[in-house]
Amino acid sequence: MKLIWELALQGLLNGCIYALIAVGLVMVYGLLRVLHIAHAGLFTLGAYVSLVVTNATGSLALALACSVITVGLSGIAIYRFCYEPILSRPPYVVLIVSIGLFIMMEEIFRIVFGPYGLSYLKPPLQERFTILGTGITAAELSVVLITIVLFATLDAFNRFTRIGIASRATVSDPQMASSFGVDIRLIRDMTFFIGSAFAAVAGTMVGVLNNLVEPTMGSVPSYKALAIIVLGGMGSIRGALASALFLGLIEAFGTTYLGTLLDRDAIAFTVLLVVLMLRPAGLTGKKT
Amino acid sequence: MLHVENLVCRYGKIEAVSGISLDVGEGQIVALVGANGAGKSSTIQSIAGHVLGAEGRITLAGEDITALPPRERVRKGVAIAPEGRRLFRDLTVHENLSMGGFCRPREREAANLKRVLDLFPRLAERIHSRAENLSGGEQQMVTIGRAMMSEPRLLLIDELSLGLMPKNVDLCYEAILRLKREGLSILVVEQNTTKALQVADHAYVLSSGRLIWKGTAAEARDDPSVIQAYIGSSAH
Repeated sequence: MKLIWELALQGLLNGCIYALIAVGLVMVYGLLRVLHIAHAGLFTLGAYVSLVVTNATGSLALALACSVITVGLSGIAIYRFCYEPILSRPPYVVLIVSIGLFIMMEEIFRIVFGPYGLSYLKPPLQERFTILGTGITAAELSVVLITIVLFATLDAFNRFTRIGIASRATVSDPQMASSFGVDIRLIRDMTFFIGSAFAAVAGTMVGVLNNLVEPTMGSVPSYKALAIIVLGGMGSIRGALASALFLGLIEAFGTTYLGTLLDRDAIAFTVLLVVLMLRPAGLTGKKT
Repeated sequence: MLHVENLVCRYGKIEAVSGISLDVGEGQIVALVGANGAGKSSTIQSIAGHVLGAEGRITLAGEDITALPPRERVRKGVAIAPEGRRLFRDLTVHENLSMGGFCRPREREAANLKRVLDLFPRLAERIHSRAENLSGGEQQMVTIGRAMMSEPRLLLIDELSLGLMPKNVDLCYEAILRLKREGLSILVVEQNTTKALQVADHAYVLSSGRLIWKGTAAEARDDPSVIQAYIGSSAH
């Protein structure tokens, strides 16, 4: 029983990280119908900013704030300078640009920070707690709590604020939303900022959990997050959250019970294939 | 209230509207009728600002709005209930109505919402339902209500009765008659000519993008052959 609880906790932790990364992809896809691969580069940027600021100041909270702002603004810059000018082109053009951006960002990280991983001088959030007989670090607990708070806040923002409702209306029909006075550009800027800020938080927490930040750390999460948004029904934030947690749990249990047959990523993608064969519209069944 | 002069609307090389002029007086209902492809929807969408590159001159209460984008026209008082309704399908009825009043101060939303729910009491029962789960009649009510939330002086309605059950058509027409009595100017595009002429003050008949008849609705009602001669079997 203890093993199951530990695996569930590990799955929940993985799922939370995946959800934080995937939400930005989901938001951008919903708004522009663009697969924003460069989002994974923003995740890595968030990790680097937090590590550099924490090592310089000793404050993870300050580092997280700097990371969110820097990465959020970088997300807006990517939209304004790289995507907006080519939105009228076929979707694959934007996709190619996004992939190119991601590769470029990885190379910039390699040039600026070196090819090897960097670590926190004094790793934060390492205190240990025991919950239901299972040891958990403050970093792991923080990931779960931060995910709950951020998703609850995002949901409330989208449902109860005028600008949040306008954002959802823009996803549904941009021309009609614009004709009622919604500033579409502002909505897109806001979407890129929020989505990128979530990636910054995810990057920071992965860096803290592993005490390692490296140029290629965005590669695996990028294709895993793509799998999650497909599984979640493309464009659905709640669907992405559900599928991220589902995938996290599948990986945790699968690695323990099937680890001798398949590795973690193979398990995740095998399950993805099976689910999509059974439910082509994803777990939530939401049509695109 | 509305004056349209020599409106021309093209999609590529195809001219959908060729030099139409029309007027909608204050507190009047004007029907724009014609067969499929006559240019009715292009006309109404051009007035709402949804057609890029439309030529001609459009004035609202004497003010030239020709060059204004759609959202500025909404602010000036032009609202549209478009063909196909184009509701925000993932949003609830309340959220859809709220979006209609996005360009107005939030403190006026409650009063505007009350007005819409007075007009369509059924929407009060469905206020938290998602738009995609509504019946066709309810969706049309939300579409008109959403337009009304922007406090228009001119309401444009594209294919009011299309796809609706007769009972819902009557409900929607009762609603626009009530709005007319409150002083709203309404331009309605219809294929259901008979129904449109029952409520309209004036009528314009379009064919192949050109204006081929205009007059009072009473003239057309008194002599149905006028309309039948122009649009034949599509008049019902």
